[in-house]
Amino acid sequence: MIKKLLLVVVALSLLVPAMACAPAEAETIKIGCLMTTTGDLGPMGNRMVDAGKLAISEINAQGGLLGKQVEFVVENDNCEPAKGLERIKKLIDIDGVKVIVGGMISGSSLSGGPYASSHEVPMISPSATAAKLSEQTWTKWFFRTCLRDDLQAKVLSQVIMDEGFTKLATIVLNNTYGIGLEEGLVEALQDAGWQGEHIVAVRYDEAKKDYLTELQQIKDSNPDVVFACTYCDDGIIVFKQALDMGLDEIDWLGCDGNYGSGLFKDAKSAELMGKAFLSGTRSAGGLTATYDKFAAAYSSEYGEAPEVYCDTTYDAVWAVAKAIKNAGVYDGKAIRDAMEELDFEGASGPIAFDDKCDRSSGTFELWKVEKDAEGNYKNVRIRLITL
Amino acid sequence: MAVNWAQVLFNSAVTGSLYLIGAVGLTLTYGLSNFPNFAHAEFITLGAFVGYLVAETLGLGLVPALVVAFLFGGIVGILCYRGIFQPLAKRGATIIHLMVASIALGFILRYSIGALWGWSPLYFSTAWPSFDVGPLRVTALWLWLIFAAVSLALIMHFVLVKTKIGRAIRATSSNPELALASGINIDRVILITWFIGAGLAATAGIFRSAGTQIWPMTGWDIILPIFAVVILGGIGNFYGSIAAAFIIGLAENLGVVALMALGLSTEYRIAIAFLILIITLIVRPQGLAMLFRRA
Repeated sequence: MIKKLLLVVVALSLLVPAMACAPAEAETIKIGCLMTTTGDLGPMGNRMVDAGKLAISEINAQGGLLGKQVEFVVENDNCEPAKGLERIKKLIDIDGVKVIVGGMISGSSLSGGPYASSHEVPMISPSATAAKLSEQTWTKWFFRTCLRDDLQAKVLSQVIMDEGFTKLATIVLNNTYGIGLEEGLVEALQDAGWQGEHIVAVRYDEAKKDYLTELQQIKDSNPDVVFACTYCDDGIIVFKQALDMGLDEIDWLGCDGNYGSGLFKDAKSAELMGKAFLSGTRSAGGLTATYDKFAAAYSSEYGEAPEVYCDTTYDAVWAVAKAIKNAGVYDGKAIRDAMEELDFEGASGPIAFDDKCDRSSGTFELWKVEKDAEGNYKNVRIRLITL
Repeated sequence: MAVNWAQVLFNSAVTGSLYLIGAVGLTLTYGLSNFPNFAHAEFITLGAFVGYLVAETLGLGLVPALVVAFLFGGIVGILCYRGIFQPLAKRGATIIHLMVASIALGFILRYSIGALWGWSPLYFSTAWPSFDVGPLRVTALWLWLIFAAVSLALIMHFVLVKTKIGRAIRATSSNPELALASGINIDRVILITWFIGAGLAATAGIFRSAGTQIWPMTGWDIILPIFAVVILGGIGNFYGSIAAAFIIGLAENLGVVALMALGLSTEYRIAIAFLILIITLIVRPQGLAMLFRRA
C-alpha cells in the first residue's frame, strides 16, 4: 500500500513541472535562427548572427512587432545536418518559434526542412544555396534570400567559356554544397556547348586537413583551370598546400565559400589566391543605398565591415519581420503566406520570391584577390553579372 | 591519368614520418605500462600550441619551439603518469580503467587548451620554401620532417641496442619481473619512456600544424592512423612501428589515388587506416612484431 502511495506521489510530482510549462501568453515574438557558429564556418556564422541581431535591434527600436518586442533565438548546428535537425526540433518544440532564419548550410536545411514544414514553420535561409532545396515537396515552406548554386555555377561556366579553358579540374567539399556546385558547373558547361573535358574531380573531407596527394593528382592531370569550392579553414589548407605543390602556375576559380578575409590569415593561402585566382563568384552585395546604410550600422556596431552573407541574413530577418507585420498574427501559416507577397528593397537588392520561394532576380559579382601597397590582401570586385 | 608515382612515394614518406614520430611514444608507453593512452593525442596538440607560443607569440623561431615543445611535452607526460596512471595502477586498475582515465584526461587537456587558446585555428607564419627536385615537388618542411624521422629511428636504434637505459627499456618491456630481479630500476625506466614518448608526440604536433593548422583537435585529427601504426607494428615494438608508419602512409596516399580513379570522395582515405587496423586485429593481432626483434 505504501509503495503504491509512493508511486502516486512520484507520478503527481512529475506533473508539477509539466503544469509549470503550460503555455502562458508569450511576452515576446520569437524568431528562431539556425547557424553554424563553431568549426570551419564558425567565423562566418558569427558575423551572420551579428547581422541578424542588428536587424532585430532595429525592429525593436521601431517598436517591435504586433506590439511586442522581438527575441532572436540562435542555435548552432556545428555544421552537422543531424545536429541541425535536432536544433530545429528544439526551436519549434521547446522555444515555440513559428518562423526560423536558417539553416545556414544546405545540409541542415535539407535535414530540418521536412520537420519544420510539417509543423507549419517556414524557414528562410540567408546562405543555403543547394539547387536541390527547390526540388523538395516542402519547398513552399523554404524561402531564401541567397541565390542558388546552379545560378552561381552558370556564372562560373560563363567565365570558363569566355577564357577558352578546355581542361577543368575541380576540388570541392564532399557535401551538399560542394557536390552541388561541381555538378551544377559541369551541367552548365554542357548546356553551353563546352568542348572541353572535366579531367579530374576531387571531393575532399574538410576534417582531414591534408590534401597533398589530392592536389598532386590535379597537378599530374595537367588542367588549365582548377575550380575550388571550399569553406574558410579547410580552404586555407587547400590553397597553402597548392602553393607548396607548385599549383600556382594554373588559373584558379573560386566561389562564395572562399570569399572573405578569413582566407588571408595564412600567408601562403593568401599568396596563392593573390597569384593564381583568376576570379571567384558570389552574390553581389553593396549595390544599393539600403546596403550602405546596413554596412554603416554594422561597422559602427561591430567594428568591422560586414562580410559574405551578412546582408542576406539582415534581409532574411527583415523579411520575416515584414511578413509577421503584414500577417498581423504570429502564426507559421500566415507568415508563410505573407512572405510570398513581399516585395521590398533589401540590403542585398530587391527581395521578392518566385514560385519556388527563391529570389526572383539576382546579381553575381566576379571577384579577385589583390595585394595592396602595405602588403595586405583583399577581395576586389571585377564586374557584376545579372541573371 | 598519368600518376607521378615518385611524388606519391615521397608524400607517403612525409605522411609516414609524421606518423612514426607521433607513434613511437604511444607504442613504447603502451608496451611498458600496458594500456593505450588516448591522451597521447593531446600531447601532440599541446606540443603544437607550446610550439606556437614559442615560435609566434614570443617570436623565437621554429628550432627553439621544437626543443621547448619536446621538453614541455615530456614533463607533461611524466606528470600524467606520476599523477594519474601510476597511482591508479598501484590501486589495481585494469587496462580498461587506465584507458578510460586516459580518455578523460584527454578531454580535460583538449578543452583546457580550447579555453586557453580558443577554437579558431591558428597558423605558423613561417613560409617554407618549396622547390622541384627532378620529378619531385618538395618543401623544406617536408625534408625536415623526413630528416627528423630518420634521425629519430637511428638514435632510438642506438639507444635501444647500445645504451644501458635502452637495454633496460627492452628488458622491462619484455619481462618486468625479471627486469626487476636483475636490479633494473623499473620506475625510472618507465618515467624516462613517458618523457621521451610524450616529448616526441609534442614535436609531431609542431610538424603536423606547421603544414596545416593548429587547433585543439590537432592531435585527435591524426590519432586514429597513429593507433593503426601502433597495432600494425606490434604493441611496444619500435622497429615494427617504423615499418608500420610507412605502410600506413603509403596505403593512405595510394588510397587517395585509387579513390580518385574510382570517382569516389577522398573522404574515405581515413577508412583505409581503419581497414588495416581491423584486418591486422583479425588476421595478425601481434602485428608485425614477429618480423622484428622485440624492442
